[in-house]
Amino acid sequence: MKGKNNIRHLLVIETLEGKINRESLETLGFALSFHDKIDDCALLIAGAEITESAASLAEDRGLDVVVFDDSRFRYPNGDLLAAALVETIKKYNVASVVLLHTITGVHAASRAAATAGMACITAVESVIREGESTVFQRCLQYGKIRASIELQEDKFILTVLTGSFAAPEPGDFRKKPGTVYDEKTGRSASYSPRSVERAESSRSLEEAEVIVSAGRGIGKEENLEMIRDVAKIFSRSAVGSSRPLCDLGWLPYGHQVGSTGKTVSPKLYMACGISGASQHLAGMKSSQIIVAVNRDPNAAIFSVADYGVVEDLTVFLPLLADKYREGNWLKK
Amino acid sequence: MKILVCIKQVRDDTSPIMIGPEGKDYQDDRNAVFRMNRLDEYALEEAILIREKNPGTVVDAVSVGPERVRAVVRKALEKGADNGFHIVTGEAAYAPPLATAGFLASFARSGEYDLILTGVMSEDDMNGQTGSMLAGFLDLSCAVSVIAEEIGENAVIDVISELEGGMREHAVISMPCVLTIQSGINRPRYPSLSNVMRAKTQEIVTVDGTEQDEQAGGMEQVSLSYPLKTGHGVILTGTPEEKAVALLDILHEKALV
Repeated sequence: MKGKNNIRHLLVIETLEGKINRESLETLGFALSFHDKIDDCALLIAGAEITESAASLAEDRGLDVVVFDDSRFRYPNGDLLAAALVETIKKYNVASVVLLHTITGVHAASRAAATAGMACITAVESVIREGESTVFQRCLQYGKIRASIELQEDKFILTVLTGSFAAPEPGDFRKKPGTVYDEKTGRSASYSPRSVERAESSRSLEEAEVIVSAGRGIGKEENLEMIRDVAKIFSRSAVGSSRPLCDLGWLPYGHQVGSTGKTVSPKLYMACGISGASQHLAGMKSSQIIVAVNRDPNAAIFSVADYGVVEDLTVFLPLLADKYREGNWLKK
Repeated sequence: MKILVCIKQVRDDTSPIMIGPEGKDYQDDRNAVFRMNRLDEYALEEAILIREKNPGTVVDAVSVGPERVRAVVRKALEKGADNGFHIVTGEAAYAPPLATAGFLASFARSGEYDLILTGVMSEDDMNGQTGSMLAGFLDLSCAVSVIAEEIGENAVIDVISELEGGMREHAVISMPCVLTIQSGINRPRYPSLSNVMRAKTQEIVTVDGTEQDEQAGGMEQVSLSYPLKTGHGVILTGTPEEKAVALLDILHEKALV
Protein backbone atom coordinates (compact mmCIF):
# COMPACT_ATOMS: atom_id res chain seq x y z
CA MET A 1 0.00 0.00 0.00
CA LYS A 2 1.35 3.39 -0.97
CA GLY A 3 2.20 5.84 1.76
CA LYS A 4 0.14 8.88 2.63
CA ASN A 5 1.50 11.90 4.42
CA ASN A 6 -1.38 13.94 5.69
CA ILE A 7 -4.97 13.54 6.74
CA ARG A 8 -6.63 16.79 7.85
CA HIS A 9 -9.86 15.45 9.26
CA LEU A 10 -10.45 11.93 10.50
CA LEU A 11 -13.97 10.50 10.85
CA VAL A 12 -14.29 7.36 12.94
CA ILE A 13 -16.64 4.54 11.92
CA GLU A 14 -17.42 2.17 14.79
CA THR A 15 -17.88 -1.55 14.32
CA LEU A 16 -19.36 -4.46 16.22
CA GLU A 17 -18.59 -8.10 15.45
CA GLY A 18 -17.08 -7.21 12.08
CA LYS A 19 -19.98 -5.02 10.93
CA ILE A 20 -19.89 -1.27 10.61
CA ASN A 21 -22.27 0.78 12.74
CA ARG A 22 -24.24 2.73 10.10
CA GLU A 23 -25.02 5.48 12.60
CA SER A 24 -21.29 6.33 12.60
CA LEU A 25 -21.79 7.65 9.06
CA GLU A 26 -23.42 10.67 10.72
CA THR A 27 -19.84 11.85 11.33
CA LEU A 28 -19.74 12.42 7.55
CA GLY A 29 -22.86 14.52 7.89
CA PHE A 30 -21.09 16.59 10.52
CA ALA A 31 -18.03 16.97 8.27
CA LEU A 32 -20.15 18.14 5.35
CA SER A 33 -21.90 20.78 7.42
CA PHE A 34 -18.71 21.86 9.18
CA HIS A 35 -16.13 21.93 6.37
CA ASP A 36 -18.60 22.50 3.48
CA LYS A 37 -16.55 19.94 1.55
CA ILE A 38 -15.41 16.49 2.47
CA ASP A 39 -12.31 16.00 0.29
CA ASP A 40 -9.97 16.67 3.20
CA CYS A 41 -11.57 13.92 5.27
CA ALA A 42 -10.59 10.29 5.67
CA LEU A 43 -12.33 7.50 7.56
CA LEU A 44 -10.87 5.33 10.29
CA ILE A 45 -12.37 1.90 10.84
CA ALA A 46 -11.21 -0.51 13.52
CA GLY A 47 -12.82 -3.93 13.53
CA ALA A 48 -12.42 -7.68 13.14
CA GLU A 49 -12.24 -8.89 9.52
CA ILE A 50 -13.31 -5.44 8.45
CA THR A 51 -11.03 -4.82 5.44
CA GLU A 52 -13.71 -5.75 2.90
CA SER A 53 -16.31 -3.40 4.42
CA ALA A 54 -13.64 -0.70 4.59
CA ALA A 55 -12.85 -1.16 0.90
CA SER A 56 -16.50 -0.88 -0.10
CA LEU A 57 -16.87 2.30 1.98
CA ALA A 58 -13.78 3.74 0.24
CA GLU A 59 -15.41 2.90 -3.06
CA ASP A 60 -18.93 4.16 -2.27
CA ARG A 61 -17.92 7.34 -0.52
CA GLY A 62 -14.80 8.18 -2.45
CA LEU A 63 -12.84 8.70 0.74
CA ASP A 64 -9.56 7.27 1.90
CA VAL A 65 -9.93 4.78 4.72
CA VAL A 66 -7.43 3.95 7.45
CA VAL A 67 -8.27 0.44 8.60
CA PHE A 68 -7.22 -1.45 11.72
CA ASP A 69 -8.27 -5.00 10.93
CA ASP A 70 -7.65 -6.75 14.23
CA SER A 71 -9.62 -9.45 16.08
CA ARG A 72 -9.20 -7.43 19.28
CA PHE A 73 -11.68 -4.96 17.79
CA ARG A 74 -14.45 -7.60 17.46
CA TYR A 75 -16.23 -5.99 20.42
CA PRO A 76 -16.07 -2.29 21.35
CA ASN A 77 -12.69 -1.53 22.91
CA GLY A 78 -12.31 2.17 23.63
CA ASP A 79 -8.83 1.82 25.14
CA LEU A 80 -7.48 0.17 21.99
CA LEU A 81 -9.43 2.51 19.70
CA ALA A 82 -7.81 5.45 21.52
CA ALA A 83 -4.38 3.92 20.89
CA ALA A 84 -5.21 3.47 17.19
CA LEU A 85 -6.38 7.09 17.05
CA VAL A 86 -3.25 8.46 18.68
CA GLU A 87 -1.00 6.46 16.36
CA THR A 88 -2.97 7.66 13.32
CA ILE A 89 -2.99 11.27 14.53
CA LYS A 90 0.81 11.22 14.85
CA LYS A 91 1.53 9.32 11.66
CA TYR A 92 -0.73 11.39 9.39
CA ASN A 93 -0.52 14.69 11.28
CA VAL A 94 -4.30 14.74 11.79
CA ALA A 95 -5.86 18.08 12.81
CA SER A 96 -9.32 16.94 13.85
CA VAL A 97 -11.08 13.71 14.76
CA VAL A 98 -14.84 13.18 14.91
CA LEU A 99 -16.58 10.21 16.48
CA LEU A 100 -20.18 9.37 17.21
CA HIS A 101 -21.24 10.06 20.80
CA THR A 102 -21.37 6.47 22.04
CA ILE A 103 -19.96 5.03 25.27
CA THR A 104 -16.97 3.71 23.30
CA GLY A 105 -16.67 6.84 21.16
CA VAL A 106 -16.56 9.19 24.15
CA HIS A 107 -14.00 7.05 25.92
CA ALA A 108 -11.72 6.78 22.88
CA ALA A 109 -12.09 10.52 22.16
CA SER A 110 -11.28 11.59 25.72
CA ARG A 111 -8.40 9.20 26.20
CA ALA A 112 -6.87 10.08 22.84
CA ALA A 113 -7.29 13.82 23.53
CA ALA A 114 -5.45 13.51 26.84
CA THR A 115 -2.69 11.40 25.29
CA ALA A 116 -2.24 13.45 22.10
CA GLY A 117 -2.74 16.84 23.81
CA MET A 118 -5.81 17.87 21.82
CA ALA A 119 -8.93 19.73 22.94
CA CYS A 120 -12.04 17.58 23.35
CA ILE A 121 -15.74 18.39 23.17
CA THR A 122 -18.29 15.61 23.61
CA ALA A 123 -22.01 15.38 22.73
CA VAL A 124 -21.92 18.18 20.15
CA GLU A 125 -25.42 18.87 18.83
CA SER A 126 -24.84 21.76 16.46
CA VAL A 127 -22.15 24.07 15.10
CA ILE A 128 -22.49 27.76 14.34
CA ARG A 129 -19.92 29.82 12.48
CA GLU A 130 -19.84 33.46 13.53
CA GLY A 131 -17.26 35.26 11.42
CA GLU A 132 -13.86 33.96 12.44
CA SER A 133 -15.06 31.92 15.36
CA THR A 134 -16.78 28.55 15.47
CA VAL A 135 -19.19 27.79 18.30
CA PHE A 136 -20.13 24.25 19.26
CA GLN A 137 -23.37 23.70 21.12
CA ARG A 138 -24.13 20.97 23.61
CA CYS A 139 -26.51 20.32 26.49
CA LEU A 140 -25.81 20.50 30.21
CA GLN A 141 -27.88 19.70 33.31
CA TYR A 142 -29.94 16.91 31.72
CA GLY A 143 -30.89 19.20 28.85
CA LYS A 144 -32.08 22.12 30.98
CA ILE A 145 -29.19 24.35 29.84
CA ARG A 146 -27.36 24.71 26.54
CA ALA A 147 -23.72 25.71 26.40
CA SER A 148 -21.81 27.37 23.58
CA ILE A 149 -18.16 26.39 23.43
CA GLU A 150 -15.33 27.92 21.45
CA LEU A 151 -12.15 26.08 20.64
CA GLN A 152 -8.85 27.77 21.31
CA GLU A 153 -6.78 25.13 19.58
CA ASP A 154 -6.54 23.98 15.98
CA LYS A 155 -6.25 20.34 16.97
CA PHE A 156 -9.35 18.82 18.48
CA ILE A 157 -11.47 15.70 18.94
CA LEU A 158 -15.27 15.79 18.98
CA THR A 159 -18.10 13.37 19.55
CA VAL A 160 -21.37 14.25 17.83
CA LEU A 161 -24.71 13.29 19.29
CA THR A 162 -26.62 10.62 17.39
CA GLY A 163 -29.36 12.11 15.23
CA SER A 164 -27.87 15.61 15.13
CA PHE A 165 -26.26 15.40 11.68
CA ALA A 166 -27.88 13.38 8.89
CA ALA A 167 -25.64 10.76 7.29
CA PRO A 168 -25.23 11.75 3.62
CA GLU A 169 -26.10 9.40 0.74
CA PRO A 170 -23.24 7.75 -1.18
CA GLY A 171 -24.08 9.90 -4.23
CA ASP A 172 -23.20 13.07 -2.31
CA PHE A 173 -19.49 12.36 -2.70
CA ARG A 174 -16.80 12.61 -5.31
CA LYS A 175 -16.76 9.63 -7.62
CA LYS A 176 -13.11 8.57 -7.49
CA PRO A 177 -12.73 5.64 -5.07
CA GLY A 178 -10.60 6.23 -1.99
CA THR A 179 -7.54 4.25 -0.96
CA VAL A 180 -7.44 1.83 1.95
CA TYR A 181 -4.47 2.20 4.31
CA ASP A 182 -3.75 -0.85 6.42
CA GLU A 183 -2.57 -0.13 9.96
CA LYS A 184 -1.74 -2.12 13.07
CA THR A 185 -1.69 -0.83 16.60
CA GLY A 186 1.30 -1.92 18.61
CA ARG A 187 -0.41 -1.47 21.94
CA SER A 188 -1.20 -4.53 24.00
CA ALA A 189 -4.48 -4.09 25.79
CA SER A 190 -5.19 -4.97 29.38
CA TYR A 191 -8.87 -4.29 28.76
CA SER A 192 -10.13 -7.30 26.79
CA PRO A 193 -13.79 -7.63 25.86
CA ARG A 194 -15.03 -11.24 25.79
CA SER A 195 -18.62 -10.97 24.54
CA VAL A 196 -21.53 -8.64 23.97
CA GLU A 197 -24.98 -9.51 25.24
CA ARG A 198 -28.07 -8.03 23.57
CA ALA A 199 -30.89 -6.62 25.66
CA GLU A 200 -33.84 -8.93 26.05
CA SER A 201 -36.57 -7.63 23.81
CA SER A 202 -39.30 -5.77 25.60
CA ARG A 203 -42.17 -6.47 23.27
CA SER A 204 -44.64 -4.28 25.09
CA LEU A 205 -42.70 -1.06 24.38
CA GLU A 206 -41.96 -1.97 20.78
CA GLU A 207 -45.52 -2.93 19.94
CA ALA A 208 -47.34 -0.21 21.83
CA GLU A 209 -49.07 2.53 19.86
CA VAL A 210 -49.06 4.77 22.90
CA ILE A 211 -46.28 5.00 25.48
CA VAL A 212 -46.83 6.87 28.72
CA SER A 213 -43.41 7.46 30.25
CA ALA A 214 -42.41 8.54 33.73
CA GLY A 215 -39.29 10.41 34.82
CA ARG A 216 -37.78 11.66 38.03
CA GLY A 217 -40.50 14.32 38.26
CA ILE A 218 -42.88 11.59 39.40
CA GLY A 219 -41.35 12.05 42.85
CA LYS A 220 -42.53 8.89 44.61
CA GLU A 221 -42.80 5.25 43.57
CA GLU A 222 -46.49 5.23 44.56
CA ASN A 223 -47.14 7.91 41.96
CA LEU A 224 -46.40 5.38 39.20
CA GLU A 225 -50.03 4.32 39.68
CA MET A 226 -51.02 7.66 38.12
CA ILE A 227 -48.93 6.81 35.07
CA ARG A 228 -50.53 3.36 34.81
CA ASP A 229 -53.97 4.94 35.18
CA VAL A 230 -53.31 7.32 32.30
CA ALA A 231 -51.90 4.48 30.19
CA LYS A 232 -55.24 2.68 30.64
CA ILE A 233 -56.97 5.46 28.70
CA PHE A 234 -55.39 4.09 25.52
CA SER A 235 -55.99 0.71 23.95
CA ARG A 236 -52.50 -0.48 22.90
CA SER A 237 -50.42 1.29 25.50
CA ALA A 238 -47.32 0.60 27.56
CA VAL A 239 -45.53 2.29 30.45
CA GLY A 240 -42.06 3.63 29.66
CA SER A 241 -39.45 5.26 31.84
CA SER A 242 -36.37 7.42 31.87
CA ARG A 243 -33.22 5.88 33.26
CA PRO A 244 -33.27 7.20 36.84
CA LEU A 245 -36.48 5.32 37.72
CA CYS A 246 -34.94 2.05 36.56
CA ASP A 247 -31.83 2.80 38.62
CA LEU A 248 -34.05 3.30 41.65
CA GLY A 249 -35.61 -0.09 40.95
CA TRP A 250 -39.09 1.40 40.53
CA LEU A 251 -39.40 -0.11 37.05
CA PRO A 252 -37.39 -2.89 35.36
CA TYR A 253 -34.76 -1.80 32.81
CA GLY A 254 -36.94 -3.28 30.05
CA HIS A 255 -39.10 -0.16 30.38
CA GLN A 256 -36.24 2.26 29.82
CA VAL A 257 -36.45 4.52 26.78
CA GLY A 258 -33.30 6.31 25.64
CA SER A 259 -29.81 5.82 24.30
CA THR A 260 -28.94 3.10 26.81
CA GLY A 261 -32.47 1.64 26.63
CA LYS A 262 -35.05 1.20 23.89
CA THR A 263 -35.55 3.43 20.88
CA VAL A 264 -39.27 3.77 20.23
CA SER A 265 -41.49 5.60 17.76
CA PRO A 266 -45.12 5.12 18.82
CA LYS A 267 -48.10 7.12 17.54
CA LEU A 268 -48.19 8.95 20.86
CA TYR A 269 -45.42 9.41 23.41
CA MET A 270 -46.45 11.06 26.66
CA ALA A 271 -43.45 12.19 28.70
CA CYS A 272 -44.46 12.80 32.31
CA GLY A 273 -41.94 14.46 34.60
CA ILE A 274 -39.10 13.79 32.15
CA SER A 275 -36.68 16.70 31.83
CA GLY A 276 -35.57 15.72 28.32
CA ALA A 277 -31.86 14.94 28.53
CA SER A 278 -30.41 14.22 25.11
CA GLN A 279 -29.97 10.56 26.12
CA HIS A 280 -33.73 10.26 26.59
CA LEU A 281 -34.62 12.30 23.51
CA ALA A 282 -32.45 9.99 21.40
CA GLY A 283 -34.82 7.16 22.23
CA MET A 284 -38.17 8.81 21.52
CA LYS A 285 -37.89 11.90 19.37
CA SER A 286 -39.15 10.16 16.25
CA SER A 287 -42.51 9.44 17.92
CA GLN A 288 -45.42 10.73 15.81
CA ILE A 289 -46.97 12.92 18.50
CA ILE A 290 -45.16 13.94 21.66
CA VAL A 291 -47.00 15.29 24.70
CA ALA A 292 -44.91 16.60 27.59
CA VAL A 293 -46.15 17.18 31.12
CA ASN A 294 -43.66 18.91 33.41
CA ARG A 295 -43.85 21.57 36.07
CA ASP A 296 -40.62 23.22 34.88
CA PRO A 297 -41.47 25.41 31.85
CA ASN A 298 -37.77 25.39 30.86
CA ALA A 299 -37.55 21.59 30.67
CA ALA A 300 -35.84 20.54 27.44
CA ILE A 301 -38.61 18.03 26.74
CA PHE A 302 -40.84 20.94 25.67
CA SER A 303 -38.49 21.65 22.78
CA VAL A 304 -39.51 18.39 21.10
CA ALA A 305 -43.13 18.29 22.33
CA ASP A 306 -46.07 18.87 19.99
CA TYR A 307 -48.25 19.62 23.00
CA GLY A 308 -46.97 20.83 26.35
CA VAL A 309 -48.65 20.97 29.74
CA VAL A 310 -46.86 22.93 32.45
CA GLU A 311 -48.37 21.39 35.57
CA ASP A 312 -47.50 19.28 38.56
CA LEU A 313 -47.95 15.62 37.59
CA THR A 314 -49.71 14.69 40.79
CA VAL A 315 -52.36 17.30 39.99
CA PHE A 316 -52.63 16.86 36.25
CA LEU A 317 -52.48 13.10 35.70
CA PRO A 318 -55.37 12.18 38.05
CA LEU A 319 -57.41 15.00 36.48
CA LEU A 320 -56.70 13.64 33.01
CA ALA A 321 -57.81 10.13 34.00
CA ASP A 322 -60.90 11.51 35.78
CA LYS A 323 -61.93 13.73 32.89
CA TYR A 324 -61.57 10.79 30.54
CA ARG A 325 -63.77 8.60 32.72
CA GLU A 326 -66.37 11.35 33.09
CA GLY A 327 -66.47 11.59 29.30
CA ASN A 328 -67.65 15.20 29.43
CA TRP A 329 -64.92 16.27 27.04
CA LEU A 330 -66.74 14.38 24.27
CA LYS A 331 -69.91 16.41 24.71
CA LYS A 332 -68.36 19.83 24.46
CA MET B 1 -5.62 -2.68 48.15
CA LYS B 2 -5.72 1.08 47.71
CA ILE B 3 -8.69 2.67 45.97
CA LEU B 4 -9.14 6.28 44.89
CA VAL B 5 -12.63 7.61 44.24
CA CYS B 6 -12.90 10.88 42.31
CA ILE B 7 -16.04 12.81 43.18
CA LYS B 8 -17.53 16.02 41.84
CA GLN B 9 -19.76 18.58 43.48
CA VAL B 10 -22.71 19.61 41.31
CA ARG B 11 -25.64 21.98 41.64
CA ASP B 12 -28.74 20.32 43.02
CA ASP B 13 -31.28 20.35 40.24
CA THR B 14 -34.45 19.83 42.23
CA SER B 15 -35.10 23.56 41.98
CA PRO B 16 -34.70 25.24 38.56
CA ILE B 17 -31.13 26.04 37.55
CA MET B 18 -30.93 29.68 36.48
CA ILE B 19 -28.41 31.39 34.24
CA GLY B 20 -26.75 34.55 35.59
CA PRO B 21 -27.33 38.02 34.12
CA GLU B 22 -24.24 37.92 31.91
CA GLY B 23 -25.32 34.67 30.32
CA LYS B 24 -21.91 33.13 30.85
CA ASP B 25 -22.41 31.34 34.09
CA TYR B 26 -25.04 30.14 36.53
CA GLN B 27 -26.90 32.59 38.73
CA ASP B 28 -24.73 33.07 41.77
CA ASP B 29 -27.26 33.28 44.54
CA ARG B 30 -26.58 32.26 48.09
CA ASN B 31 -29.48 29.81 48.00
CA ALA B 32 -27.83 27.56 45.42
CA VAL B 33 -27.67 24.04 46.84
CA PHE B 34 -24.79 21.75 45.96
CA ARG B 35 -24.48 18.00 46.38
CA MET B 36 -22.40 15.04 45.28
CA ASN B 37 -22.72 13.97 41.63
CA ARG B 38 -24.96 10.87 41.79
CA LEU B 39 -22.77 8.81 39.45
CA ASP B 40 -19.85 9.43 41.83
CA GLU B 41 -22.02 8.27 44.74
CA TYR B 42 -22.32 4.93 42.95
CA ALA B 43 -18.53 4.88 42.46
CA LEU B 44 -17.93 5.59 46.15
CA GLU B 45 -20.40 2.90 47.23
CA GLU B 46 -18.71 0.40 44.92
CA ALA B 47 -15.34 1.19 46.53
CA ILE B 48 -16.81 0.62 49.98
CA LEU B 49 -18.39 -2.68 48.88
CA ILE B 50 -14.95 -3.77 47.60
CA ARG B 51 -13.41 -2.82 50.96
CA GLU B 52 -16.04 -4.89 52.80
CA LYS B 53 -15.04 -7.94 50.72
CA ASN B 54 -11.29 -7.24 50.95
CA PRO B 55 -10.30 -6.34 54.51
CA GLY B 56 -7.33 -4.00 54.71
CA THR B 57 -8.45 -2.00 51.68
CA VAL B 58 -8.14 1.77 52.00
CA VAL B 59 -10.64 4.07 50.23
CA ASP B 60 -9.48 7.64 49.51
CA ALA B 61 -11.91 10.25 48.16
CA VAL B 62 -10.73 13.30 46.24
CA SER B 63 -12.49 16.28 44.70
CA VAL B 64 -11.26 19.21 42.60
CA GLY B 65 -12.77 22.69 42.94
CA PRO B 66 -13.18 25.85 44.99
CA GLU B 67 -13.71 26.00 48.79
CA ARG B 68 -17.36 24.90 48.63
CA VAL B 69 -16.29 21.53 47.21
CA ARG B 70 -14.96 20.46 50.61
CA ALA B 71 -18.56 19.66 51.60
CA VAL B 72 -18.70 16.68 49.23
CA VAL B 73 -15.36 15.39 50.48
CA ARG B 74 -16.84 15.53 53.98
CA LYS B 75 -19.94 13.74 52.68
CA ALA B 76 -17.69 11.01 51.24
CA LEU B 77 -16.14 10.53 54.69
CA GLU B 78 -19.64 10.31 56.18
CA LYS B 79 -20.48 7.62 53.64
CA GLY B 80 -17.43 5.65 54.65
CA ALA B 81 -14.32 6.83 52.80
CA ASP B 82 -11.18 6.44 54.95
CA ASN B 83 -9.43 9.63 53.87
CA GLY B 84 -10.57 12.83 52.18
CA PHE B 85 -8.54 15.07 49.86
CA HIS B 86 -9.44 18.41 48.36
CA ILE B 87 -7.52 19.89 45.42
CA VAL B 88 -8.35 23.56 45.90
CA THR B 89 -8.74 25.61 42.73
CA GLY B 90 -9.94 29.16 42.13
CA GLU B 91 -13.58 30.14 41.90
CA ALA B 92 -13.88 29.76 38.10
CA ALA B 93 -17.15 27.92 37.66
CA TYR B 94 -16.24 26.12 34.45
CA ALA B 95 -13.48 23.56 34.59
CA PRO B 96 -12.67 21.73 31.34
CA PRO B 97 -12.35 17.97 31.95
CA LEU B 98 -8.78 18.04 30.63
CA ALA B 99 -7.81 20.42 33.47
CA THR B 100 -9.68 18.42 36.13
CA ALA B 101 -8.19 15.14 34.89
CA GLY B 102 -4.74 16.78 34.95
CA PHE B 103 -5.12 17.68 38.64
CA LEU B 104 -6.42 14.22 39.48
CA ALA B 105 -3.56 12.57 37.59
CA SER B 106 -0.87 14.52 39.47
CA PHE B 107 -2.59 13.62 42.71
CA ALA B 108 -3.05 9.93 41.85
CA ARG B 109 0.59 9.51 40.80
CA SER B 110 1.72 10.02 44.37
CA GLY B 111 -0.74 7.47 45.79
CA GLU B 112 0.09 4.13 44.13
CA TYR B 113 -3.56 3.23 43.73
CA ASP B 114 -4.61 -0.23 42.57
CA LEU B 115 -7.98 0.98 41.46
CA ILE B 116 -9.43 4.38 40.58
CA LEU B 117 -13.21 4.76 40.42
CA THR B 118 -15.34 7.67 39.28
CA GLY B 119 -18.80 8.25 37.84
CA VAL B 120 -19.24 7.72 34.10
CA MET B 121 -20.13 11.42 33.81
CA SER B 122 -21.16 14.41 35.89
CA GLU B 123 -24.79 15.45 35.99
CA ASP B 124 -24.01 19.12 35.38
CA ASP B 125 -21.58 19.21 32.44
CA MET B 126 -22.34 15.69 31.13
CA ASN B 127 -19.02 15.42 29.31
CA GLY B 128 -18.17 11.86 30.30
CA GLN B 129 -14.48 12.63 29.76
CA THR B 130 -12.72 12.95 33.10
CA GLY B 131 -12.25 9.26 33.97
CA SER B 132 -11.04 8.37 30.47
CA MET B 133 -8.63 11.33 30.39
CA LEU B 134 -7.31 10.42 33.83
CA ALA B 135 -6.63 6.88 32.56
CA GLY B 136 -4.92 8.40 29.50
CA PHE B 137 -2.67 10.66 31.58
CA LEU B 138 -1.73 7.79 33.91
CA ASP B 139 -1.43 5.28 31.05
CA LEU B 140 -3.78 2.90 32.86
CA SER B 141 -6.38 0.64 31.31
CA CYS B 142 -9.94 1.80 31.70
CA ALA B 143 -13.38 0.21 31.58
CA VAL B 144 -16.25 2.66 31.11
CA SER B 145 -19.93 2.64 32.05
CA VAL B 146 -19.41 -0.30 34.40
CA ILE B 147 -22.59 -1.88 35.82
CA ALA B 148 -20.97 -4.89 37.52
CA GLU B 149 -17.46 -5.79 38.66
CA GLU B 150 -15.88 -8.71 40.43
CA ILE B 151 -12.27 -8.83 41.47
CA GLY B 152 -10.75 -12.26 40.88
CA GLU B 153 -7.34 -13.89 41.14
CA ASN B 154 -4.13 -12.14 40.05
CA ALA B 155 -5.60 -8.65 40.20
CA VAL B 156 -7.91 -9.34 37.25
CA ILE B 157 -11.40 -7.81 37.35
CA ASP B 158 -14.42 -9.18 35.48
CA VAL B 159 -16.48 -6.20 34.39
CA ILE B 160 -19.77 -5.66 32.60
CA SER B 161 -20.07 -2.36 30.73
CA GLU B 162 -23.31 -0.93 29.49
CA LEU B 163 -23.31 0.14 25.83
CA GLU B 164 -26.04 1.67 23.67
CA GLY B 165 -29.47 0.13 23.24
CA GLY B 166 -29.24 -1.98 26.39
CA MET B 167 -26.21 -3.94 25.06
CA ARG B 168 -23.75 -5.16 27.68
CA GLU B 169 -20.09 -5.93 27.13
CA HIS B 170 -18.39 -8.56 29.27
CA ALA B 171 -14.67 -7.95 29.63
CA VAL B 172 -11.64 -8.51 31.83
CA ILE B 173 -9.23 -5.80 32.93
CA SER B 174 -6.06 -5.95 35.03
CA MET B 175 -5.28 -3.73 37.97
CA PRO B 176 -4.06 -1.06 38.32
CA CYS B 177 -6.87 0.44 36.25
CA VAL B 178 -9.63 3.03 36.12
CA LEU B 179 -13.33 2.09 36.14
CA THR B 180 -16.02 4.66 35.36
CA ILE B 181 -19.21 3.64 37.09
CA GLN B 182 -22.72 3.74 35.62
CA SER B 183 -25.80 4.33 37.77
CA GLY B 184 -27.69 1.34 39.11
CA ILE B 185 -24.57 -0.75 39.89
CA ASN B 186 -25.47 -0.67 43.61
CA ARG B 187 -27.65 1.20 46.09
CA PRO B 188 -25.57 3.97 47.69
CA ARG B 189 -25.88 3.88 51.46
CA TYR B 190 -26.82 6.65 53.82
CA PRO B 191 -24.09 7.79 56.19
CA SER B 192 -23.94 5.87 59.46
CA LEU B 193 -24.04 7.85 62.70
CA SER B 194 -20.54 6.71 63.65
CA ASN B 195 -19.13 7.83 60.30
CA VAL B 196 -20.93 11.18 60.57
CA MET B 197 -19.32 11.71 63.98
CA ARG B 198 -15.89 10.69 62.68
CA ALA B 199 -16.20 12.91 59.59
CA LYS B 200 -16.93 15.94 61.79
CA THR B 201 -13.45 16.02 63.21
CA GLN B 202 -11.40 14.22 60.57
CA GLU B 203 -8.97 16.43 58.71
CA ILE B 204 -9.46 16.86 54.98
CA VAL B 205 -6.06 17.11 53.34
CA THR B 206 -5.88 20.07 50.99
CA VAL B 207 -3.69 20.24 47.91
CA ASP B 208 -2.98 23.55 46.21
CA GLY B 209 -4.47 23.56 42.73
CA THR B 210 -4.37 27.28 42.02
CA GLU B 211 -1.08 27.21 40.12
CA GLN B 212 -2.44 25.10 37.28
CA ASP B 213 -5.61 27.17 37.21
CA GLU B 214 -4.76 28.75 33.88
CA GLN B 215 -4.83 25.39 32.10
CA ALA B 216 -7.80 25.94 29.83
CA GLY B 217 -8.12 22.57 28.15
CA GLY B 218 -8.08 24.22 24.74
CA MET B 219 -11.60 25.55 24.91
CA GLU B 220 -13.78 28.18 26.47
CA GLN B 221 -17.42 27.96 27.49
CA VAL B 222 -18.55 31.28 26.04
CA SER B 223 -22.23 31.32 26.94
CA LEU B 224 -25.12 29.45 28.50
CA SER B 225 -28.71 29.56 27.33
CA TYR B 226 -32.03 27.87 27.93
CA PRO B 227 -33.10 25.25 25.38
CA LEU B 228 -34.56 26.77 22.23
CA LYS B 229 -38.29 26.70 22.02
CA THR B 230 -38.53 25.26 18.54
CA GLY B 231 -41.96 26.80 18.23
CA HIS B 232 -43.77 23.96 16.57
CA GLY B 233 -45.26 22.83 19.86
CA VAL B 234 -48.40 24.18 21.53
CA ILE B 235 -48.36 24.90 25.25
CA LEU B 236 -51.87 24.34 26.58
CA THR B 237 -53.29 27.13 28.72
CA GLY B 238 -56.01 27.53 31.33
CA THR B 239 -56.80 25.80 34.61
CA PRO B 240 -55.52 22.26 35.11
CA GLU B 241 -59.06 20.98 34.35
CA GLU B 242 -59.20 22.98 31.13
CA LYS B 243 -55.82 21.67 30.07
CA ALA B 244 -56.88 18.08 30.75
CA VAL B 245 -60.03 18.51 28.65
CA ALA B 246 -58.11 20.28 25.89
CA LEU B 247 -55.55 17.45 25.74
CA LEU B 248 -58.27 14.80 25.58
CA ASP B 249 -59.92 16.75 22.75
CA ILE B 250 -56.67 16.85 20.80
CA LEU B 251 -55.99 13.14 21.35
CA HIS B 252 -59.57 12.33 20.31
CA GLU B 253 -59.15 14.38 17.15
CA LYS B 254 -56.03 12.36 16.38
CA ALA B 255 -58.05 9.16 16.96
CA LEU B 256 -55.87 8.12 19.87
CA VAL B 257 -58.68 7.93 22.43
